[in-house]
Amino acid sequence: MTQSLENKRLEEILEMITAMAALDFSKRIDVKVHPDDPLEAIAYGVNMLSEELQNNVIERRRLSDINRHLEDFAYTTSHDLKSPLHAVQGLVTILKNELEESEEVSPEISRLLEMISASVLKMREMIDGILEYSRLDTQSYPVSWMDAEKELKEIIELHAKQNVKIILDTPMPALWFNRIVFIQIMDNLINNSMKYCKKNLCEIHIAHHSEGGEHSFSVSDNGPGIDPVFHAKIFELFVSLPHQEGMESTGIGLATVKKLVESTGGKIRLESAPGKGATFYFTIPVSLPG
Amino acid sequence: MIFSLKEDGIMEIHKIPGWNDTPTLAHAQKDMECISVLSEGKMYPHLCYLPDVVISREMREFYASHEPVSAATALIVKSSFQRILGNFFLGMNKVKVPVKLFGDETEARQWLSKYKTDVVSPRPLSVFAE
Repeated sequence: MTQSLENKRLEEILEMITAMAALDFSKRIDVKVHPDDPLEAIAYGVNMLSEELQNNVIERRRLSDINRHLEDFAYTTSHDLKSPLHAVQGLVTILKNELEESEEVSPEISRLLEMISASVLKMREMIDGILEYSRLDTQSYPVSWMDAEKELKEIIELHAKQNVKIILDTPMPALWFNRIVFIQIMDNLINNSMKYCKKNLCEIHIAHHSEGGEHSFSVSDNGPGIDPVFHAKIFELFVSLPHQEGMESTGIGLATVKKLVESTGGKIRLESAPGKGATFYFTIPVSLPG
Repeated sequence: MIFSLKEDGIMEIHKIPGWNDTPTLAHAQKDMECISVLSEGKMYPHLCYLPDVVISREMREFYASHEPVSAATALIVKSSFQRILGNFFLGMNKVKVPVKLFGDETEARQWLSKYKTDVVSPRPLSVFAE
């Protein structure tokens, strides 16, 4: 290849890379097969790279559209299911009241009614959870200064129970973050720890440290622990651990936490082993106003 | 391409001498059919002499989504063009079957010998696809 042809080729390659840097993956170089010409091989490689990136962008848009449609569908369906479910719940309450006045009600019928009532309640919790989960992506989270310690003390007060001890490491930082999101994350994690702890005294420990431009919070408990085989699945929607007696889960809480943490730029992970309790760690990027 | 199943149990893949057309998806599909016919349901190690060709995205997609057809593949690369093509096959096969680039045929055969099956083909067979 002559010097002028080489220069022309280099210019074409540079132009294509510049376009790719501007996220324009539509350009292609007309490659001539010259086995011993490295410039042609580079042009071929850049073409391949651009085609793959273009395809990835298209695929990502397609998946994003599918996700949005699925979430719209979940929201609409959940919303539409609420009304008939309210009606069922009302009818069950009326039926229970009617039967309570009657003297001929067998204990079996009362037991079955209680079961219906509990199932309706569980379904309501699931529908509310789906509604909350599907709304997360469409919301924007305005940020302001919030006092993590004050918020956590209020959450702990709301969860106060005789058999629950929540220890809060202090001081906790002030965060430039969305207060509601922080409360939702912490509330779900504390609820999760309480739900699965069957000990006489459920101990929950909330801690914080700053590291590499991030706030890292942890919520530890002395519950039954989670087998590592479930660690990757536990944050997925509708996934809950194999049931233990008396433990009912919708499988929405931790999925909601993950979505909230990730949509605000953080990460979440779990450290746990059977019989050794569980610690959920999540991060919030350190940010400042302006 | 020419596909030859040799007596040592290695399938060799070469370009047909003098064939200089730009390959298409139909060629890729035909190649896979030939391998399937020749292999008769077995997975042989492949020794592939990569040609100097430009393959399209649809061909790459076809190869990447195809079920593995070899026990392992040694790709002989001599030119920069072949190296680019070879690296694509390396990337797409990351978790499916072992794939390695070689400049030297003897080294490639040595490496492939680890992946030979205990079934020895009774005679060399060749299939051509254009």
